[in-house]
Amino acid sequence: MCEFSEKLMAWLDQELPAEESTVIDGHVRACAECRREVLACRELSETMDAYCDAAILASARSPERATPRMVRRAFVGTAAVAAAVLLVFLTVSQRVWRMDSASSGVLPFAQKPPLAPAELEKSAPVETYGAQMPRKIRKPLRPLDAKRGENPWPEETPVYIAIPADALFPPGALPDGVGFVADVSLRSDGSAQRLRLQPQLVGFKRRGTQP
Amino acid sequence: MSGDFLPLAVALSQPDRYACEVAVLYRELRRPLLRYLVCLGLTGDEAQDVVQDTFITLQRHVASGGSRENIRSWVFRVAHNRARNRQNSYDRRFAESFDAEAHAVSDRTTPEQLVIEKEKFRRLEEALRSLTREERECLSLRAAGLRYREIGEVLSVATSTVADTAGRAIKKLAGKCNV
Repeated sequence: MCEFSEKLMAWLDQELPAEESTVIDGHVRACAECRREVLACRELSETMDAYCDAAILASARSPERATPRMVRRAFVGTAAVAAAVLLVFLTVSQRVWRMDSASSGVLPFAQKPPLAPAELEKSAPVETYGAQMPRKIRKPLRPLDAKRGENPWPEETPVYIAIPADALFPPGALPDGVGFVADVSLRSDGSAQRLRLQPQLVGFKRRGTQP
Repeated sequence: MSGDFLPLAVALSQPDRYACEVAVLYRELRRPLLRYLVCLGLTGDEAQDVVQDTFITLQRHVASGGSRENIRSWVFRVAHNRARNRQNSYDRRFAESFDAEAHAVSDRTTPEQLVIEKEKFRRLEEALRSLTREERECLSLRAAGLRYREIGEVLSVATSTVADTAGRAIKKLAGKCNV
């Protein structure tokens, strides 16, 4: 094996100091073995790129290619999002109204919505991916009393969607750091079976991914 | 077209300077992040999910006055940690190969080219399975366009280790793929 073989990858990635890079430049021109290795690296890199692109595309199938099952899932997902948005809006509005009425008598928040319904729909994070992107369904939120790995509702197909509440309201409408998680479970015909809102401190239940 | 949208409702509803910063980073890093996560073995849907969560975290980080230093590494590290938290999918390692024929990118692709491409991908998948986690992560971050220094920051290893690992991994791949 050529003594420069170990450095070829770094050279190809332009990660070597200029002086060392110049030396390897000259060597690769002269060494057939290293040239072959460089070509192999390039080809593999291109294959990996193509592979990743194809895999990403595979997950973003166009609606025309959607199977009937996918279409049903998309419908249920859209209905769940709409229900969750509406429920979060109404519940929080009532909550704010109660607070406002009790304290200062200011007009309740529900009587002066900050955003038109169309804008609210646009604000939903799931929907902003657009029709060409796959519908996003978040992993089910595990109830606190469920054991790990156990399906808490084996008899039904739950759909859980979390929407940041601060995405739906103007600054100041909610106390800092407070959000809501709406759990929506639908029957197979799309009607709501279980609706539940959980107030949540933003970031409270999130995993420790902060570096 | 969908890639031009910022999937952060926070940014859309509050177009302040923080959201603009996040939007710029999103446009720059979304595709490399997806590429990285798919290379790790996440499905496309899972990768989209992790990317969205990552940028929500970024928005909060920026809005709370967090450091912008080495922000690319920071974003990849958050995504990396989230991917690791999905242990089941992370270790699935391409258990379900996608059908390249059904997802032809170009109309000019002939059936023969598709067969060749499919075979290439199959061999690549096999080869990627033979790598250690560190090698695969290193190679995937490289494929996402990160510099060795940034890869080192994401994986918490020295830059020289990144160079060694990447070199070793690509040689293993070349051997397995008969390139």
